Amino acid sequence: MTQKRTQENFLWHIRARQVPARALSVVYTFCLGGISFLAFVVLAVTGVLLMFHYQPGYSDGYHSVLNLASVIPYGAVLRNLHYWAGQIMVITVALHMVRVVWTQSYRPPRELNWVVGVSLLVITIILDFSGYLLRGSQESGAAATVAVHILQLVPGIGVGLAAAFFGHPTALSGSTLMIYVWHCVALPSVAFYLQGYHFWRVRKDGGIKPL
Amino acid sequence: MDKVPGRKLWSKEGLVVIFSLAIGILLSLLLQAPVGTSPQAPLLAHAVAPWIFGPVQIALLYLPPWLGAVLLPLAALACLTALPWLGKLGGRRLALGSFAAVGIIIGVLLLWFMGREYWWH
Amino acid sequence: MEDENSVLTRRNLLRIGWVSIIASGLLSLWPLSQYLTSSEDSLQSDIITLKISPLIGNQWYHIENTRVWLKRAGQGYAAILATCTHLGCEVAYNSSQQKWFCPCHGSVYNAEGTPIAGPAPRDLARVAVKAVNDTLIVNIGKVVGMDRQIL
Ligand code: FES
Repeated sequence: MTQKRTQENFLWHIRARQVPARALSVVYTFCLGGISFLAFVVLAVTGVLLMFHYQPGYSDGYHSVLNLASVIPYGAVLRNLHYWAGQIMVITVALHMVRVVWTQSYRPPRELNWVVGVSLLVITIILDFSGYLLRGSQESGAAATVAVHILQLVPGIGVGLAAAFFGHPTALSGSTLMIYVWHCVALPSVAFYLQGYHFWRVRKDGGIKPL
Repeated sequence: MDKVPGRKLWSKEGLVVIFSLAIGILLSLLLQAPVGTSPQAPLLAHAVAPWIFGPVQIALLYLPPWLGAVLLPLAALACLTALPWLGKLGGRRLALGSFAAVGIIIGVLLLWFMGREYWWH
Repeated sequence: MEDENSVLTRRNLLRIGWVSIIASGLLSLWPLSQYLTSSEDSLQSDIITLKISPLIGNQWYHIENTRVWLKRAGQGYAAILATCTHLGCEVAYNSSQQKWFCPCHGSVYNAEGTPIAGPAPRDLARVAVKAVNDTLIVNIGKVVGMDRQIL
């Protein structure tokens, strides 16, 4: 009984008992932030499952993707779900930003949360890009090569940044161990914490994050 | 402002979750995610960028890399980040205007890219 | 109980804690960057050796799994690197059109590797190649001018 009470209290602690009526209106938020978070959860679950069969590397990357897409039971569905959730997340995150601008929800005291949101957008785009590279196809190799050369143009830190993020992709396959670790562990963790802060801040600033 | 009980929010969220998951699963049953070209295949004649980087690929056709792929994207990002302060300085019109300018440039480049490649990968 | 005059007051202890956390964070930046940017485990030799084959004629011939293309030039051989001078994509030689094409932003080079269309700023790089008895030694780390292509 007591335990149940505590659980309920915790739920009501992270979720509001009362919310502004406006925040409930679908037309006010279009549920875009919430759908983005849902996509992130789907991406995390399918992503971990894909890791059981994916192998990064010059030719391993492409071959394991082919295996997933063809012979491994339900591999294709999982990969498709991961892919589509990723595409949808980029779109909903962008539209969520448009909505926030339209309703002027970036105004003080919410500047900090706006900046957190912008960094989440950037991380989402990098995650989408690195996922594309991990496919290990010729297209991804070309994309990785171009990205490395562009990053190296940044004075001072560019060369190191490119080596730390991309490793050494070939022009024919973008799949490397470095990108794999960034894509599967490092960036999602950062995104996860930033999202937690983002949602907490939304409540603290007097709004609510409806889906 | 009017307040309503949080429970109403929960049921609405539940509906949206079920609805979106259903759409996602339907998409992945019907549409295969592309796999691209094998690294062992003959060299590609034409490599299409992933669609979200289409604007950059178009910019790189016409601008030097340091401008099209470093400076302009960074400027767009800086403009986005500064939006609350732009709003403080010049009100809604300035904020909305600069956001729209960035958005329209990216949108036009994206449409340009899609028109050029017919469809994305 | 805390002694007011002690150096180790709670506030001082906290301060020491913060400073050491920040200091160790800053100190680890350099080793971390060295660790993350190292390529010691993927070093590749710049030297490629192969048997001279009759396939290497007057048209560029691709050496598998490398970016090197070879052809006969005068008394010796010429080696060219199929790396686009725009942003590094791998270009391919089309022998019927006698041009190099880049898949990424559409740069086109003539047979000698001079750009004739697209954003590429420079000629494709020529690298040193040397014939020793029946083997060819290509040094892709050594870029040479077009006039000195035959070594
Ligand atoms: S990399 Fe060859 S045209 Fe850009």
